[in-house]
Amino acid sequence: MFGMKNKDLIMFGVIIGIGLIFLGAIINNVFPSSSSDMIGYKVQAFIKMIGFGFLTSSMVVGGIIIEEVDKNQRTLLLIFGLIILLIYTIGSVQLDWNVSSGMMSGDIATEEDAAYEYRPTGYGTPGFEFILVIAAMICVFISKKMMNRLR
Amino acid sequence: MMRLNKRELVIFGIGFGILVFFFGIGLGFLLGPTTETHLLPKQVSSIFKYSGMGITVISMIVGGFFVEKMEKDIKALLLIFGIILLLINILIMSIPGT
Repeated sequence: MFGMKNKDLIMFGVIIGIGLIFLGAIINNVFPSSSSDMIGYKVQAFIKMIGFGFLTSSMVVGGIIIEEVDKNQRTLLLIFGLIILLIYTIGSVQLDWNVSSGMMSGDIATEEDAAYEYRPTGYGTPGFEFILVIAAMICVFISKKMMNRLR
Repeated sequence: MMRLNKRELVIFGIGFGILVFFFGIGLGFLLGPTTETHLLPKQVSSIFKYSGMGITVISMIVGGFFVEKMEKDIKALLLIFGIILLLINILIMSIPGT
């Protein structure tokens, strides 16, 4: 497909994806953000999400089209790609960056303060980790059952 | 434009849809927080997010059902996860404000 060897194309996608995730983390630390300057946070979150997109897309497409690797390995790649997609679909609700006037109380005086205080980090929002754990456990259970049935 | 057969179209749809979905989430961050008076980030982000997810789910279910040149277990996986994703998205859409 597309005139390039499938395996190389997928490998390239995975490398770019993981690279972008860590590049985002580096940007977050090199350019710290505050309530008055959130450009670092915005850019790192965008880069991280593009990285996750490349990674998930490569894993799922790779799980379908790669022919040079072992069949079990390929199915595993597809299942893990689909699990990441599933988790981020559930997590996308928590990753919405909404600020309402009800959030402004106590030390949080302005809208910028509230925006900074309630920014989604993917891991820092209370409850997000719990949803991830439950989703991952359900997905692993379903895929294990499915794999047993397919054998 | 290059001609794609049904299998290639489904695979392209899945890959492209996932990319657009994550691009939409990222755009929501890049455009800044959504407030009660400034709804643009949420509007733009949800266009990309739901378009991407729609393309992915359509491709997965169509790929799981109607494409012949694919292995049986991969087709089953695509169909099952496509239906699960569709159900999860219906649940997410039913949350007020999403």
